Amino acid sequence: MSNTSENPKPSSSSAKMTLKTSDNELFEVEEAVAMKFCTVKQYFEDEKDSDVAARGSTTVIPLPNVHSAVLATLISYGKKLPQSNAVADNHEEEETKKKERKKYEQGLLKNLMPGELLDLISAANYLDFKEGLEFFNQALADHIQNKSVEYVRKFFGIKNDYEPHEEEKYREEYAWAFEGVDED
Amino acid sequence: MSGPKWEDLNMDCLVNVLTRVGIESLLLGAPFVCQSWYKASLHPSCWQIINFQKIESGPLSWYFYDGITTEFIKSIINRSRGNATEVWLPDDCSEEALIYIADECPALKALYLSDILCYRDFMVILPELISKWKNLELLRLGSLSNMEEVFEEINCHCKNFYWLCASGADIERDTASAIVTFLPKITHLYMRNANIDRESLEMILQGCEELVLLDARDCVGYECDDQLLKLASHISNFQHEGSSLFGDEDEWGEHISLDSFDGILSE
Repeated sequence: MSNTSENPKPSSSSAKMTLKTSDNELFEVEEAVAMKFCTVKQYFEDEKDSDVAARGSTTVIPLPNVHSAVLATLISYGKKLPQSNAVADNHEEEETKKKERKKYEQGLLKNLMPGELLDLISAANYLDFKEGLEFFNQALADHIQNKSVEYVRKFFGIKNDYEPHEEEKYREEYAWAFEGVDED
Repeated sequence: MSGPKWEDLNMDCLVNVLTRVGIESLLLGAPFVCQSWYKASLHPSCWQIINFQKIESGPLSWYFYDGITTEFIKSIINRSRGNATEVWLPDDCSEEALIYIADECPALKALYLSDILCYRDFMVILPELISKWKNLELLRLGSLSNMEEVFEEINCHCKNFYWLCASGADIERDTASAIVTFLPKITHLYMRNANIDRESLEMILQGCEELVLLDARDCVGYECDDQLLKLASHISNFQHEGSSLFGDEDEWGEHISLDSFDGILSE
């Protein structure tokens, strides 16, 4: 094996990866952003161990559980996060970026349909995208926090599987609060 | 795409979301959505932060107009499965419940004791319980007759302790001395609305060299001047506004800033 590699090693800020969604769309993503999806990172690192030179620099990573619309949002969110390989900003730049991100986050949530939020959480979970999961889980929690039980059921499409008399009993006696033993 | 498919939201995600909804939703909301949500609401991660104060006020208090029972406190503490990191005791707490919390919360980092609770006779046992909370980092308490012993025990057992709030308390010479002797490395000290004289404050300023924040606003017993400011120059955030020698009789009984505790711990 020769010592020289076929291609000079690309700097991490310009390297791109291609992700393929469940609906067969291809997304070209900067490596720095894609690496925030730990599932992708793991796949990439597993591939690197095998013969990379033969493979070339374009790897297509399949994401059979993620729809293109959802991935687009997650990538967009990932781009807005502080990049670990970015040159350190001075304080002012950092503050501006923070404000931009807040504004972006608010805009994102405003336009989000309830179903989309669930899809985003599922996808972020599958991709092991910690920052995304944190953000969207919080958004969901904020959304359901002060809502009635009926609203929550409707939102999630959940069927009430309590017997009417059970639920009534619980509401009146608050009996469950005094259970000594929780079911495992 | 069809409507929201909550079955895709697996248990881990659901639990993660429920850890963020607050105790009212955990007790009054989630359990009634359906049986698996009830189950998710019992997950220990949801019970790392347990705020009984929020049960005594707000919509939950309707269910507890007879007071919060020891059994209830125990059942909630049980849900944390030993992982509780932050507990706010109710004013209504019993001695048995307090001992139970000491025994069952070895991971405790933050403990909130209200003024009303601290007036109760049985609270003299607090020093004995400190040794069970080796991970304690933050403590909020009111005036206790044996505060000095509490600090001594913290010094002995709680190597990560750095944050003390005694707002509204009487900080006498002995107490100040105990803070300096037993909590010399403390970084955050809140004593807004406290009764503290100048000598005691000076003792603390000189003895606690690692202080980053000292909230001594609206205190009665000292007036800030250049000399004090000089002594406090090592503290990046020293607040003293509103403090006076004799206080304002009309303001008696107002105040207590729960906010200092609340804001810090939610980080």
